[in-house]
Amino acid sequence: MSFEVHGLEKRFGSYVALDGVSLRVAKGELVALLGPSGCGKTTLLRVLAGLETADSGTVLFDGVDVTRTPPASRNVGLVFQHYALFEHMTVFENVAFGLRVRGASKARVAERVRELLAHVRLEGFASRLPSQLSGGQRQRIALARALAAEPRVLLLDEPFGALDARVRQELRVWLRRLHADAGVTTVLVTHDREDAFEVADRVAVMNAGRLEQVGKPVDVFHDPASAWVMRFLGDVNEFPVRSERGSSVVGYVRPHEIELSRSGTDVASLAAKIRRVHSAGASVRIEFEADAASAPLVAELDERTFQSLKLSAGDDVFLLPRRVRVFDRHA
Amino acid sequence: MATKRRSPIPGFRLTLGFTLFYLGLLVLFPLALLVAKSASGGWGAFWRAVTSPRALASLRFTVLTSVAAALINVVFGFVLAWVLARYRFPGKRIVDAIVDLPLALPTAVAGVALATVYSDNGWVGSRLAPLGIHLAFAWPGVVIALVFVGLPFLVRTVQPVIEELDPAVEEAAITLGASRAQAFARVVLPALAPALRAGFAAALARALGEYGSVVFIAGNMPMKTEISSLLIMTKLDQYDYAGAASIGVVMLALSLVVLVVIHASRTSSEKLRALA
Repeated sequence: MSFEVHGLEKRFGSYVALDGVSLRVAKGELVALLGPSGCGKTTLLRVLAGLETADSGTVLFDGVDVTRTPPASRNVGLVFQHYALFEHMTVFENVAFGLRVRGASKARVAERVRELLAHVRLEGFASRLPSQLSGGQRQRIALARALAAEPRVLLLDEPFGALDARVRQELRVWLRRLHADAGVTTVLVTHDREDAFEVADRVAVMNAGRLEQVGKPVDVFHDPASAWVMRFLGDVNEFPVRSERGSSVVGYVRPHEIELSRSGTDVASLAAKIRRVHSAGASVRIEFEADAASAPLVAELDERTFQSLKLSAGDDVFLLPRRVRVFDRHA
Repeated sequence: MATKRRSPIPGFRLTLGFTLFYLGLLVLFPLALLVAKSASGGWGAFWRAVTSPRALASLRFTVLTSVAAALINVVFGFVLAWVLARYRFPGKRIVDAIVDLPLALPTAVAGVALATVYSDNGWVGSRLAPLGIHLAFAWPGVVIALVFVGLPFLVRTVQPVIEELDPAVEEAAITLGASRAQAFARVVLPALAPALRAGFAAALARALGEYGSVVFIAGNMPMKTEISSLLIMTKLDQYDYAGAASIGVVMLALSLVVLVVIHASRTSSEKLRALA
């Protein structure tokens, strides 16, 4: 199913959760709503599910206005951060719930639950209680439950939020595969950029109730639409540069887009002193102090380049930004 | 083993010994004497005292009114607990405090107040009397008094469990296509059932032993509206100590049954929560 929202606005008292959000998602797409907590992404998800009613704006499912349709009739699958499993029911009953309340036959329920448990690779767990499962297993059951009645759209609210890093990574890969198999239109709400970039076809970056940028992960990462998006998506150095018209503006440079040299041959290079070196990682992070920049600067080098430069704390070096971005608005 | 674990509080043996001694002296010893006293006239006397028509009528009346009051508390106490747990409204703290009032109030005061309101010349009673409805000095008055004293037990047992229940669970049921009624019956109620059972048992135990608030509103007619606690008082007044003790033993047995039920439902709900 494709869906679109137009001009959604939602306030809770003086807090603006949605400030004119419009978005169109194609059939079978997996879109991540990415933003810091309180940016309105969960509110948008709840408006899609019908659990929250927008103050103004419309929600269309396959072109049909469902803005006033109650959640029980929307046929959406919703997965919560803390699973929200029915603790007094077995895994089987949890997955069967959506089918049973819709009056599916006993044989159909049994067949579909078996199919879904196989899909989430928890075949042997039908008679367990949710409390007997690990966090990752619970979230897979929550997914199976949400998928049972073949929802028109799958809505995931921080589904990996309560899990540790390793399980998180496994579930991301698994979710990507599940989506490729089932092809359900999916919205993933997350504050974690790795979740969004690894799993989603498109990423919608949200800030203060507005969509800052919508696009493919690679485009959003490499061509951020605003300084805010640039800062939100990763470490960034900020220092003053001269614009083409001669005025002083803020230039944004990613740490891995800085080259170092011992001598300042290039006019665009910047004198700096090494403050600290962190070499325990996939790349080497170096912190600098520079007179031209008010905040400390950071560069990331690969191990080999770092070794060949023979750098250590206290050295004076020159930084050469390979790519400087300048934005019109500095939100 | 508790003794092998290093505890920051020293003297496991000492404190356990004290606990057993204290409980024995305070609780078990008087109760044992009660049982001994009831048997002082022999098994026949015990049986006669307990199965006399008046004693049976009082026990029946006590149990029926207590169960009725506890059931009413389960329904309305649940609503109250739900509102207190789930909603914010002006004056909530005051409502919250009022729930505890029956615990703090001397029950005799409550009895006098209720009798004043519900008797035929009281504020409520005077309006119902012309319709032929008499609440005070009849069983409805007793039930009202027992609902009053049992309410905090129900609310305070159920409220924290409702607060712990994630609203997302209901929302999950609704997005899966359940109606509000289905979500309540299949998801919310089963999750709260152990707490409701425990609250029912606590309110029931309170009602079985209630004396102060009931005697002022019951009318205390033997064979009709006489509760067992009052019958025990009456027998004591007549120097029939063995008879009083015998009925006391039956009340004790009833309380034990209720306590076992409380404990059983509490452990099952705690087990569920501990596993969660």
